[in-house]
Amino acid sequence: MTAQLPPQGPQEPDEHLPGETELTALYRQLPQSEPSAALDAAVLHAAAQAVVAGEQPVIERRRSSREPGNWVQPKPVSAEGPKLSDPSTASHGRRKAGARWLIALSSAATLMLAAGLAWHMRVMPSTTSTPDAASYRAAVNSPVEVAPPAAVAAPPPPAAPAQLVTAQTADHLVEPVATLQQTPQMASAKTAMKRHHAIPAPPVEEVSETAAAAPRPVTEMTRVAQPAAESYSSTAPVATASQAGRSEVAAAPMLMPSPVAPAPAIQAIEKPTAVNPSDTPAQELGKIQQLFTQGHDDEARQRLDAFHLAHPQWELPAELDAQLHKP
Amino acid sequence: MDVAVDPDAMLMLAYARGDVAAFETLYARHRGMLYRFLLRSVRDPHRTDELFQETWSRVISARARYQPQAKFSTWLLQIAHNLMIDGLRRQRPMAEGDEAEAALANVAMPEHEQPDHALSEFERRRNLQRAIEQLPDEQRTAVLLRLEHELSLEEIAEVTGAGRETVKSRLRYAMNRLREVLAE
Repeated sequence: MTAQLPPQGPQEPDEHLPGETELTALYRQLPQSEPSAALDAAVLHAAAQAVVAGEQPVIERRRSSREPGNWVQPKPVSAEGPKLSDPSTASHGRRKAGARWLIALSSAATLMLAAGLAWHMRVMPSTTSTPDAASYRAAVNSPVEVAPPAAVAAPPPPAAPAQLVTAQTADHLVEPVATLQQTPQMASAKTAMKRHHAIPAPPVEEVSETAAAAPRPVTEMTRVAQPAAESYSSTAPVATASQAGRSEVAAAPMLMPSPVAPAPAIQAIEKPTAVNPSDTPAQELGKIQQLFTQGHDDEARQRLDAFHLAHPQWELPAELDAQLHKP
Repeated sequence: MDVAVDPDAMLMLAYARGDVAAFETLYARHRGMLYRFLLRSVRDPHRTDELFQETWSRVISARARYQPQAKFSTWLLQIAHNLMIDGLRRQRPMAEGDEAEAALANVAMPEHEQPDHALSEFERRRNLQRAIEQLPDEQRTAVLLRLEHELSLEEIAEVTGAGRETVKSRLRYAMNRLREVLAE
């Protein structure tokens, strides 16, 4: 006995199931619902519009009671993807809102960072491009200009020591504020001084002759002293020149903080006993002792007082201690 | 039925060439049966409207690449069925119970079926309607395609994507259940 195969193929007549005729008749009596006129109009309009435009159809969709918003026009109903009322769409909207919030926050943070960098960059050049730093770089790069050999070899003009001291004292009174700013210049002067210490100092006679012949650097000090130097250069005895040199040595401490860069270098080179900020306390004491030895008691005492104020714990030699307590 | 002489397919081809009147004729012939199929399947008037528009929108979009390889009604119902299945996969809540009954009862009735008719006929139709609603989805779809559109087993299989014997089995179970309800 073989199982009867069901009918196959489209040509074979379809079989009726038991009770199908009765059910079909009763089903035909069910309410015959129809689409609304608005629905018909929307579909027919979309069909006509698609033919006219030759594009994808656009159907005016009537808002569903579960959909937010109003009529959507135009909106291709065939567009695939989640509906507006789809829960996943709502969560996607929340994600988009969150993304927008993050974009706004990151933009604000970027602006703050840029403003901070701009402020920092505005502050930075002011500390690196000050005139002192520029002059320091210029002094380092061109030490010859700072202390030309002729100026170094030129002796102090032996003229008008009173005027010179007065002018230098005036400069000294104005300069304490600028002293700190001249530190790079002093460093350059020290460099120049070290370079020229190797040059043997000429004798006093030679210095006086060179002072008359060589051109001097145009500084205020030389401008003040130049007429007298010209008048003395040929007639003044050597002792006068050395005396003038002493008077200038006495004024050296006041000339050190001069705003003109070459001045400290010149002073330091011309007078071994001049004040040098880079000297150690022992060196300074040595210079002070040398000043006492040379007879510059006033200057030596002033520097000794200053040294004692700066280094109260320093144990002074007996002779200097006696000088310090001498009225 | 020979697909080559399907008048609906001819109308669809004419619409693809730009004949809007052909589409209007095609739409008039299928609008009611498509709407009822959707309404009785999803039992939600609003969702039915959406699916109805979406189905016709797919038809309009596919006009240029339409090939009359099957009956137009089969193709149309296949689109509607797929859209409906997609909606069910999204687990949209469907109207149930009294809401579904009210939705189906609110549709206009022919005048000859208004309240002066016999109560027994009304009760039979109501029972049939409830019994169809309570069928499993696959059986309900097969019954609707069979009773509403009088599709063959092969056509139902083509629409639903199931095998012919599967469709036949579904129909057999579904009709047995409907007859049981009507016999109570």
